[in-house]
Amino acid sequence: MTRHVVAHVADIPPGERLIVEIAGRSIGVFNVNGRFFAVKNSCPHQGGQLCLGRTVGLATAERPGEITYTREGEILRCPWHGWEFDLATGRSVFDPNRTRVKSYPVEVEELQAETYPVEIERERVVVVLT
Amino acid sequence: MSAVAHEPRAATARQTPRELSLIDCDAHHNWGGVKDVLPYLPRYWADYVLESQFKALPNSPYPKGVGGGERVDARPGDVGSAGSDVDFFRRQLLDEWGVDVAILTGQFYNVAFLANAGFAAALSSALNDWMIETWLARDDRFRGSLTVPMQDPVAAVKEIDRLGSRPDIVQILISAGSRMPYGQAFYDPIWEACERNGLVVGMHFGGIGIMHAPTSAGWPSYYLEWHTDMSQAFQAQMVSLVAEGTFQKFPGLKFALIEGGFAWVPHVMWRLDKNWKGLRTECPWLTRKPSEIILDHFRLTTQPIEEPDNDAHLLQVFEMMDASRTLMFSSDYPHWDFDSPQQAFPRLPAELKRRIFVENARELYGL
Ligand code: FES
Repeated sequence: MTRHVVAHVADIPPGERLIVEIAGRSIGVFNVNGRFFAVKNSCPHQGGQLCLGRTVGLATAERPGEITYTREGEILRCPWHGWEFDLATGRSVFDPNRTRVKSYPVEVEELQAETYPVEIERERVVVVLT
Repeated sequence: MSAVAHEPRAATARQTPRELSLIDCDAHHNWGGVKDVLPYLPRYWADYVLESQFKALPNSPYPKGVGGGERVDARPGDVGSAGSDVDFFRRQLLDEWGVDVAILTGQFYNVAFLANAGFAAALSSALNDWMIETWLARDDRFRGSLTVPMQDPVAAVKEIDRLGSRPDIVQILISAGSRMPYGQAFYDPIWEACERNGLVVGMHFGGIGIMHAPTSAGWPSYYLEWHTDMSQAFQAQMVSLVAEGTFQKFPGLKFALIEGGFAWVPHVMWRLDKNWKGLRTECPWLTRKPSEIILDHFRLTTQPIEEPDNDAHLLQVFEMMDASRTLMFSSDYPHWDFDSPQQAFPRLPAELKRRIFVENARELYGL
């Protein structure tokens, strides 16, 4: 298990993402309303750069025609053929058990040792490679 | 109007369990002309027929290049159109081939393309009463399909509720061509009535009149093309019914696709599943693979059987479409493209053969 500091929190405002290279892997780090998630930047379908896709909400329907739209910003949609993935888990919407993108734990850690007398970010984003 | 008894008839041989060995899901009885149903029409509409000299339902612009569309040996005597004589029909289809149950499919679904919906409703009722009295009452191997005016769902529902609970009526029969795709909400009351009455929806080759070209490419020139292209309409209807969530609304509803071919089914299942993965958000009520919905709610008939040069290819298609669940034998008697139950198929494994010739239809129609 290795920990990789990838950014300061302020570098990835809510709704934004940062695509970083860690140990030769391209990974997208997403800020969803203040929570951070990281997924591999490669779609399990045909390898499209998943993390270039739009973040959207989740459309569901109890009955035909009665659509509800929730969890806005929490679903990542592949820029190629539109498959949807839950950023929190990496699971696809259409087949959560069998079709997933690799997701990585993300931590936000406090800066402790910085002593420079300039204004700095207090928190940074850490991706954990397992 | 004739006094047809509309109560479900008392238990008869129809309810007696018996060993079945052959069910024909597409046997076309016919009228000898509109004169046959005049006694069953209300006086206003009977006079309308006489005054307007109405002779035939809307028909395709394609003269049928073989035998006028009929098996030439199926015409009773020199006159009469094929399928119009009950005794001849029984001898040539039921007795000769050992058909235990024949689902009568008539040739009347084109009432849906009469411009006058009131006339379509009256004619539907007359055709149904005529069928019950002159066909179903004559042989307990017959089961009936209701003709319904699809251009007027209120009238169609009335007709389904009038006769749909009879044990000798097993389905409504509509054509693959339509004014609009069948998944659209316009038709929902009809599906609701079918589900409520325990009726299958039989969807048959055809559809002419107030409708669109039979292909997205436009009107083809030849009957050869029309006949081949017809599977496109079936595909569009299947996709529409699945996409619109018809089977979420009516979970008991089943469709029998009749004379539309079947080798296209794997393509539609695969394409629809694939597109659903990327386009699911348009129809989020689809919470499982469309192909699973297709396998649960659609059955298909065999005739006109696909005839690849290599029999093994046909068996592969059977496997891809789970024919042991989905495919039902049909002859299309007495039409020119009739399939013989003994000659039309390559050698089949015994269990698969029994599913296709008996069990799938028995389960669908509750025979
Ligand atoms: S590559 Fe992502 S949906 Fe096809």
